[in-house]
Amino acid sequence: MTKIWYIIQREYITRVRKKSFILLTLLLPFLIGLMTVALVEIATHAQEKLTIAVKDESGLFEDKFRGMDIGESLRFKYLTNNPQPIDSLKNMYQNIDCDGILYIPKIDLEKPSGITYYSENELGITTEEHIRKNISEEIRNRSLLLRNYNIDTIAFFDKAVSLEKIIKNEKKNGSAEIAGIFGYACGFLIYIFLIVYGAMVMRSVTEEKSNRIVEVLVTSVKPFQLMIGKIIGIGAVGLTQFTGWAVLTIVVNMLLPVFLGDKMMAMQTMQQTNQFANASESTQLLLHISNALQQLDIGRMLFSFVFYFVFGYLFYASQFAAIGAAMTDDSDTQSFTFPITIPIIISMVLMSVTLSQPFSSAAFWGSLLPFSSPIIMITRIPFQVPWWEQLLSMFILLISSLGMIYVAAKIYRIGILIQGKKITFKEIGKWIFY
Amino acid sequence: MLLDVQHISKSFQNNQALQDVSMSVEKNKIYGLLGPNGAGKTTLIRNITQIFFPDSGQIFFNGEKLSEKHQNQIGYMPEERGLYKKMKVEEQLNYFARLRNFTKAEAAHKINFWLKKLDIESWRNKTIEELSKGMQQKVQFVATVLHDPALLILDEPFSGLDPINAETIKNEIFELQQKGTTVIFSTHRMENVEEICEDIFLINKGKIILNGNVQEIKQQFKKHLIRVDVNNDIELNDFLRSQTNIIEQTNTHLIFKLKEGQKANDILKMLLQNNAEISSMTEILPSVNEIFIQTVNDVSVIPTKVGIS
Repeated sequence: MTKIWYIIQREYITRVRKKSFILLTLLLPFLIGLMTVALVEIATHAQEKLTIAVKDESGLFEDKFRGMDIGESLRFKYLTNNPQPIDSLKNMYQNIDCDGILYIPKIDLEKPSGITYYSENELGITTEEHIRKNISEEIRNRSLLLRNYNIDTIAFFDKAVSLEKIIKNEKKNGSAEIAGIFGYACGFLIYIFLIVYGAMVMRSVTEEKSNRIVEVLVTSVKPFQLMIGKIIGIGAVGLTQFTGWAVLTIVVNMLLPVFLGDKMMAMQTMQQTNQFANASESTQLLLHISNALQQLDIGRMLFSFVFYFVFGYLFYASQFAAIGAAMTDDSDTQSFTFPITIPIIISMVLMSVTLSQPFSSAAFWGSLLPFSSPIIMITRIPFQVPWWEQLLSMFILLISSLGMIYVAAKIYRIGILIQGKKITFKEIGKWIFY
Repeated sequence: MLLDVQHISKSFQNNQALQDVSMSVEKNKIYGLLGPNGAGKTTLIRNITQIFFPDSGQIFFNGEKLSEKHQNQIGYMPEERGLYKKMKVEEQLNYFARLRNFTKAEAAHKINFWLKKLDIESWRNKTIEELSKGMQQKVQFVATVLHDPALLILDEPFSGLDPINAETIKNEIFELQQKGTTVIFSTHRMENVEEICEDIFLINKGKIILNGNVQEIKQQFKKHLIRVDVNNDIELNDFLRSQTNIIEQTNTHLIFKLKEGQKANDILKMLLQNNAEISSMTEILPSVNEIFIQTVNDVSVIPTKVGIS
């Protein structure tokens, strides 16, 4: 056991102190933070600062235009008391510090036309959309009023309908969408981890084999100790990196408001107002998200994530170790890793099926089979998978990863000492039963 | 007897790598394990280092059946060097020492001792990839002997070394032998064998085809050739010509092949009668290289045992 411990230490320390590891672990969250800052800065600064004069001959739009609040970027100036005709106004709007003039003639509500914007410069897309929306909303309201609908009725039509769900006699407020996003994120993280760190195990095994270190090592340790020490050591490196990222991302997110201040808030409100017609809907969405997050059993999610992360890794890393041991310098890496990576990639495809139909039979079997369960089950858990299914899946994965380590050790033991000749899958099969 | 290999055989798929190989290794001696490429040297070594296990036959270490507990008494340096390129010299040696169950203090003590001894202390904090090939070799040697093995197995220890470093390693090997270490070294470089080994095992096609003391083997393979160096240009008389078998004659030396029952002294007498001024006389013994080539090429040679081993 102490020898395995030394091996784990070596595998871990030599990797963790590498400059590339430290840089990647530290910098990624900061880079993401920096990118957020840059995006917000660009978005707020690039906003046109516009003041638009409004000449409203219809008299319908008095004080109806809302400015856009971001950095006081869009303001309206009503020229109600200005008697000059539009023909002269359109040439002198600059004299009253305006960037353009919006002319609304007397219009027929049934057939509104002739609304014109005069300026030296083109309007930005968002601004144009904003103005158009304001006008059409007002015209719509007026038209409805003309047809004897009262204001309250109109407001009633605008109300969003929420769907209440009772699942197994329990009231659920969470939205399937949020659960899906959360599940997808977790599944995707595990996928990345399996591919990146599995390949790292494989490369490291091949390297030890090709420079003959194993020949020296196996005179003092058992091949199994060597293999399991390497798998655990590299897995610990991965866990360190992920934990580092998680912690730093939280720190960076806490620091962001300090740098961005109000801009961040403004940005958020802008995004929401752009997406949803009125404020009440956006608050409703926020409510949805927080409801959904409360609905997610964070404890269960965290436990499951760590379990599938660790055992999914053991299951795949041992395969990568075995393949790494069977490879020789000149062998075709691609054809060897293909059988391992295919199930992982299929799992990714199955993940999208799972998201749309988390209780379909494909999702069910995908979350039981050890080849796909680390990715599929974690995607399904936010959808309230029954405990018996999860326990069964965990049990299968546990047994399979131990079994895979056993099989991999057999291949590894023989493979690492075979030099210079190309190994076929048939031979590998023989080693397993040797 | 330190190591006793008894009738081991080992095959891989269709290839019989070792066939009924036996070898006895005495304490405190230096052995050469010779053989052409693919003869089975490495397989034999791997059976001794317990990387492989024989299909049949047994190996005894110090009278006990070879097992895991003996691994710490064996030091093995493979032909192709195995070190972690990105690790520092000291760290690397420490790792190997810890895997040999050394405590931290013991490991540090041993590493200091050897780094000083081989004059590579200043390399302590360099990574392996920063070192020259010869330097890496020295580090590898330290890694092999760090745990004071009773049996040291070196596979081509001098390949890639310059003459000065080769000499250093050679001296270390002798010094270890003096302190009681047994050394088996595997090579196909015969000049090293003559210098270093007392005994050799010659292996070909998975079988030991010749073993024994180097000098005795040379005697056995000698072709009864005598070389006589002379100072004067001599005319040989017909009697001498008829009585001897002259292989080579120059102004300075003569080579005779002794006839059945003939002695070197007989030839000397005749030469003196021919007024030769003799400066030296030597018996030409075959080099290990010649024996090696002759034995490997001669399929009719049956396994022989010369002298005691």
